[in-house]
Amino acid sequence: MAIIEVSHLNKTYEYYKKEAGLGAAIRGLFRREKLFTHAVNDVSFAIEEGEFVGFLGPNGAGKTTTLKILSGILHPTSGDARVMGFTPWERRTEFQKQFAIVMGQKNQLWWDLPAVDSFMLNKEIYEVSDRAYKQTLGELTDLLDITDIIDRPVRKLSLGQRMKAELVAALLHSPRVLFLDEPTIGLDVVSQQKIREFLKRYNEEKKTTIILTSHYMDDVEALTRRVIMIDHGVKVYDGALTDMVARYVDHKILEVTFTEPVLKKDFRGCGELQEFDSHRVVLSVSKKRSKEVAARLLASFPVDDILISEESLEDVVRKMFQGK
Amino acid sequence: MKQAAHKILHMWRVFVAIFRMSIMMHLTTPLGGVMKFASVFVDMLIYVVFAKIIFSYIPAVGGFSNDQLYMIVGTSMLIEWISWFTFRAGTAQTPDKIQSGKIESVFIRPLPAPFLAFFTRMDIEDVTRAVTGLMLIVPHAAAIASPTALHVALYAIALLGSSAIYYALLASISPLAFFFGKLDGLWAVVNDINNMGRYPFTIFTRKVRWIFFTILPTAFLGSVPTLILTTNDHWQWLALTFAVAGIGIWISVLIWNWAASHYSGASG
Repeated sequence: MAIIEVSHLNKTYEYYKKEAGLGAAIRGLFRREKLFTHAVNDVSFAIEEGEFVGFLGPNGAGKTTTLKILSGILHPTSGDARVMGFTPWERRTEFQKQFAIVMGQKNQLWWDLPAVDSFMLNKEIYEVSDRAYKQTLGELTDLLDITDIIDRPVRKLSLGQRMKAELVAALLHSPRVLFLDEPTIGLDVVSQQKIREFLKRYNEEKKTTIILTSHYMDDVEALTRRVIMIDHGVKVYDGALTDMVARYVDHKILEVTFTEPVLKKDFRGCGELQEFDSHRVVLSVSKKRSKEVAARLLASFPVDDILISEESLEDVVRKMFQGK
Repeated sequence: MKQAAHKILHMWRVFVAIFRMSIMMHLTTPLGGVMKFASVFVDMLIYVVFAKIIFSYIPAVGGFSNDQLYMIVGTSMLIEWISWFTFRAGTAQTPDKIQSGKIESVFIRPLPAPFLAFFTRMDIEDVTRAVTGLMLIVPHAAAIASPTALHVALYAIALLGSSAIYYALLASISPLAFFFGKLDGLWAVVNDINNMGRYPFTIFTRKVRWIFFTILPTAFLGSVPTLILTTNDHWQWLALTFAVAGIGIWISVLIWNWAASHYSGASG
């Protein structure tokens, strides 16, 4: 049975049009034009217990709004959602004790105090027993390698350390469902990698259901097998990441270096020339023609090296959202 | 019943945890704490000096003796202390939290959202208000007649009831920020209400008095607890205090639930 069920969910924001200038502001007092933004538009999906699902979309697509509805922060305009059998926006205590949400751009830790004090507060809020608290805290800090920094004031921590501490705070009550909204935003490559490794292991070991939104395709590739893509509030894809790549990747990238200078005009009919200098070209070639073009390049040019690769997931997603 | 008791105990434990953290926060910048402590003390001192001067010319007002007038002022200071020690800073910060989206954290936690929204910071330095208030109350209570232990106990309970009324008022105003933004002007009105609590309600006409017992319950912020301490009508005043507190808190919860259901996100 699905642990998260979303059915024809809609969220429409109402706001008033505001034009620039004092005159427009005064006119606005008497006559205002009401505008609507459909942040979430008839979205439906179901997620099984233990799944790790990527929730993708450009800025303003409706990802965060959907997560906020599923965590009970926002009420939908219409439609239905069940998380662990609860209607999130009814904000039942039993529901709130079983999920957590981590937002990369918001923190719940007390800024001037050591992170461990915020953990203690969460222990009380979620009524975690002393024994469970000690055990979970030990496990999480070990896994995230932050045992020696939880006694430092949060403001003294690096962004990566802070995000790790945020994750500990969110997971102390061992939630069954975890919503992650851009958890690696702004982090350096090493910190991103560490957090990815932790999340992967946590999901495998605890069977926690996780929905992740991220702009970093590396996060999605490393962690999720299924992705839900949303654009302008509308679900545009829901399925396996590999299927999506197979469906949308119709080109290969050929990166060729030469021992002698070459001319740009000689590459006509070899696909789309993405980069060029006299000793190196990068071509985007349809999958069907890639072998033929590679053979032609090897036969016709002084090739030093040739590298054939798939389009990156980032490019695939960009193409999908640009409707190409 | 068992569930309600568990919930109250749960809230108490979280309250204690937040109290501990508030003390720790103050200790991270001890000099700042001393400065706040001193400024509250000076504020109180100035007020007491003026009260002493003004009330020294007034032997009695509207049935309240000169000693009772001082006790009303002292009582309002005690209630102000309780409010700053518990919910006042939290209610004042709520509009900012709504605008910045920080309020969202209270919707996802397994405790009543208004409790998590309002009981977030305890201003320890405001203990000065309590000390100053007691300095006014104790000698003047002794001058009237030594109140019995029952009077003192009921007075202490009345202070909690009056604080609950004050809480209900602020907790009803704060959620309006879900619709109206900052509420800067309204906080000035709240301060006025607080200040009016330092005058006996009997100086006003009957119609105005009715307002001060209901919509703007300033009568409970000074006069009523003083009557409980100094007269034998204490039971009826105490019953009225808790009746108004109960209704007030119920209304504040309704207002919160209604306003919070319209929350559309800081970036919405």
